[in-house]
Amino acid sequence: MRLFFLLGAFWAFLAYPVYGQTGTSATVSGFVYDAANGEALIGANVYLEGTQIGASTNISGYYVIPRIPVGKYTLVFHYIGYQVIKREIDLAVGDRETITLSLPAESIELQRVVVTGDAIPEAEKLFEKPLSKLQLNARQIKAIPQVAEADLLRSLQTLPGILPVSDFSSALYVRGGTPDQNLNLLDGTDVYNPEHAFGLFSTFNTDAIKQVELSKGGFSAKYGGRLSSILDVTNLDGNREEFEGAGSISLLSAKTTLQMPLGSVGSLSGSFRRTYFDKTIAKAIDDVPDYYFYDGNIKAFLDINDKNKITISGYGGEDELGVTFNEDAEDEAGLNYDWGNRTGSVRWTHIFNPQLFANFWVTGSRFDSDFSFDETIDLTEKNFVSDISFKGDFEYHLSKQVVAGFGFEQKNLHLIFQQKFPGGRINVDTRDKHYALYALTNWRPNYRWDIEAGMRFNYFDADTTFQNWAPRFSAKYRLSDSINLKAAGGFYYQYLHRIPRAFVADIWVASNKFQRESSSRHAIVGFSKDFANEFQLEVETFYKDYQNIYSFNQNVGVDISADDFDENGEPIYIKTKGVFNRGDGDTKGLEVLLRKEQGAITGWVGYGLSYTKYEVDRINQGRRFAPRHDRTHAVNVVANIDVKNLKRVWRGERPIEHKSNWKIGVTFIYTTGQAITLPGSGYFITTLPGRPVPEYQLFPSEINGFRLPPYSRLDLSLTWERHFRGWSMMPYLQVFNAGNRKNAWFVDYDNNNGVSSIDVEHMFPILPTVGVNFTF
Amino acid sequence: MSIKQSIIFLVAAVLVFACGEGTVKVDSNTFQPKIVIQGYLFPHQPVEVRLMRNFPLDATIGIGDIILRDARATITDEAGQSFPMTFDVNKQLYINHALDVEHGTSYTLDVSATIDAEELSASSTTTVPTPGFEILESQSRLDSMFYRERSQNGELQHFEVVFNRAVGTDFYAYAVNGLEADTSTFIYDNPFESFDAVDVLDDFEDFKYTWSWIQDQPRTAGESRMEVFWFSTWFYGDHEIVVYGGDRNFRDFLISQDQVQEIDGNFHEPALHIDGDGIGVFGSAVSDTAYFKVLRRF
Repeated sequence: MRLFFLLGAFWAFLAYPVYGQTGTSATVSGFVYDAANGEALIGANVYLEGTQIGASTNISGYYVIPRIPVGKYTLVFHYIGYQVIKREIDLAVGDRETITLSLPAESIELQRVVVTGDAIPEAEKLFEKPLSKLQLNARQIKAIPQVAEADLLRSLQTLPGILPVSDFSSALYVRGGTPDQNLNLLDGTDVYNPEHAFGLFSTFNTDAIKQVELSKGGFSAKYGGRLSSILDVTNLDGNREEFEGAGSISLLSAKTTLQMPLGSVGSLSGSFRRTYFDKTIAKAIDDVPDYYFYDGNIKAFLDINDKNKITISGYGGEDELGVTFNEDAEDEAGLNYDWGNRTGSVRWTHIFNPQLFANFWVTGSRFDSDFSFDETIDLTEKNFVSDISFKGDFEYHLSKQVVAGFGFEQKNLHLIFQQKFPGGRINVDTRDKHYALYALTNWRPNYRWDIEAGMRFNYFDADTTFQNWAPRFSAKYRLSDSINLKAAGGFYYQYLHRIPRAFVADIWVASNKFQRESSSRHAIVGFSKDFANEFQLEVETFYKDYQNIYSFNQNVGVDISADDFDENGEPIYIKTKGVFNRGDGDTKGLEVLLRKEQGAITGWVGYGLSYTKYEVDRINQGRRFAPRHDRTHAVNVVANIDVKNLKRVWRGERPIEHKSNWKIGVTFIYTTGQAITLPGSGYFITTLPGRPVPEYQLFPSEINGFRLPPYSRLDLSLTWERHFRGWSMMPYLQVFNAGNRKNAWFVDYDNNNGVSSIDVEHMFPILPTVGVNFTF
Repeated sequence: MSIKQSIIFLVAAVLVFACGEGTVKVDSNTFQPKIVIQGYLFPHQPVEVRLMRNFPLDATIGIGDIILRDARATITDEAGQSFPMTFDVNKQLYINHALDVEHGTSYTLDVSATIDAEELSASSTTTVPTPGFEILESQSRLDSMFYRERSQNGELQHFEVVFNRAVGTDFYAYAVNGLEADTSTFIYDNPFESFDAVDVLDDFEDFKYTWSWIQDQPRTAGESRMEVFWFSTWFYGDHEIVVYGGDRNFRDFLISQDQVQEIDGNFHEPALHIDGDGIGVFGSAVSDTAYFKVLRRF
């Protein structure tokens, strides 16, 4: 409460100078769109030429410059890759000018001129970017070679501070946190299990993506409910000018994205994707199970009027897995597993007045899975997550220096996990409510400083209640025009816990009497520098701790106890007591990212140094240990090469657009080997008293006290782009793990007649794929 | 170094790291000697405990090499009376026939031994289940049945064992032993996997001797039932089924001892109730035995 009071006092202090200016100023506001398709441009700069007065567009493309002293100005609109547009304005006292316009895309030749001439330099973008935030667009994601097709989550794994646990999972481990600590938002809606099976595909179709932002820590009070990161994915609103399409066909999947105007009031976009493992590889190779998934997005944008916009977005996907154990048997047996996400959201953007901008959301997210053996064994499982949420975000531009934000969120969660097995059943079924309020103030007292302070209050209502205040703070300081210093920190709370399961969907459980809320504190300090608009360097060091993080209890069978019995006397489990092990931990690290976003060669080089330690009750005799996903060192190199323009640059000529061109993609990853527990010894013992021959058993050594060999991988892609009149095609060859390096996954042990043997199981070998992308 | 040289160096470094295979070296550095205890108490049965040692993973070792023959072992009952165990050379077990194990009574095993010049000790306490446990053959379905027999409406049929519970015991396990098991009686046409005779011989004991369990049964008196699934039997012919009602030590060892490797290959600690430098089990149980037959279709 004391913190909230301090925040209020800070807010009042910031607001004070505002009132002195009332009555002598004017306001300019509006939206900025892409002229080619009518999409809102996020992060476009709008400023008054010759002054330090300006603003950036928000996620809706809206900007506002309040309390401008009266007079004549040149208003400049700028966005990287688009033409700069200027408008002369003459502001009188009390004017509220609305200027909405569309920026035409810039040709590649002129982009070079733009960035070195009449434009906001890259250094400004670097300053505007919050600490620990990464941004990718669809073009960047598609340029990174992958196993089968471009994938958002796997692309993010090439950035410092974000790691996978193996080739078989696209889940993100951000700065030592686990995937359940990431909030995955798709058009404002939580997505609970954002992966399809085996880690090759995520639920985010890259053709449908407009922008991706990932905050690795220190995020503002606007976000909550997770400890480690926020992945905010915004899909395409749709082309408001003309019909547009894109598609691709690869060895494993086919997909298409279509966009069209909805008369003069808005736009519509839709995507659909289906894999065909089941029709191809599974038919050819006996051991490959029948598996496929399909998913689709649809989004409508309605531009009701200058003050009201509505966005309706939906996603649906389904994975189907069928396994027959022995296809040669007369009497076959097997299992079936299907799962999928459904999300939907309605967002109403309303401008109360030029200074007060708001977004209101109603979102729904549902995940369910069903598992069954067909007669083999009486084992069925149902896993269900439902989240209906209401939220509102307000932005109030008090002055040129001060923007206040506030909002609310109310989540209605319904979590079910049911399992029927021989001798009992599990039926965990909870309905929980999460309420959150937040307020923040962003203050830019002068050209050099940008300070934000915020507070988020959480109230979680389950079989017991949790209340937490979560203060947040960030500051940016411009040391020079090209060098920035940044700091951020805060308290973070999470009320959902996950039972991870390899290859298949995780189970979510809400905080309750047995598993308290998890919490974390972040402290981050960063430095960024722009080198002549060519390279951008970001260096960050961070410390993050965790309290009450819950990991699945591998000996759950010995720790659970029946809560009830059915009519046959079989146990029923309805609580989660004994399912998790409680723990604490911390991560500290350093990250370096050097990016080049323009020119014939683009990409980045990243390095991450981190140390994560957990201390989990009843594990490793209470001693601290590195979790499986801990990597001390991680190096990433991502390069995208425009071959023809590289030759031109080499000859000292400017890059130009070509009708046909070759693009080369290179990704190299090197990380310290995984922490792993190895058996310290073997022994013989009989499992049951009557068994005549003892069995070979293994007894583990120190938990994760061993490191596998370093992981490294080189991925390559070669794409030929050919642009025709009205359409383009881009056939490609991608080679995952081009060096065919045998990266160790885990170690298997056996003992035959007293002779031990050790087999190293490896991750993906070299995997070439071909496909073609096309647009029209 | 020029830019060109730097690029060549970088590309060479990438190629070196992107190829080949890292070496996983598993040696004896992580080895810690332990006393391996294999002891089960049954009411009014002779008390026999096997004491062994563990061994490094890279060691080649025979079962005879790991028996501890000069360990010190004592069992103490609730009243504090101690029963020293002596090593029986013929059985390779530690025994004390003076100790009459009673239902519902706790016993503590204390062991010490010298292994690899290290003085080790371990201790564990077990509580013997109460009386009352027995298989109810008249209510069980244990006569004979064809492999994967189906009812008239097509449902898969299972053998089933019904038993009276021991009050206070909530864990029951069964072990099925194929009495006529050999390569000629193996069920080759099974829905799990195609095997040949060599496969059968490689894992003969695992096919011949199978087990399963149910847990968290009511601790009160009454009946419980266990299905004996078709995949618990790999041979045609007669089978013996032994049902155990076990204490906490018995349960936790059985559930966790061979599940220490997770699906992603990592290992975790089993739940063993042995203090000190010991691993294994010192548990107690009550048991009963019945028989059934798997018929072959011709």
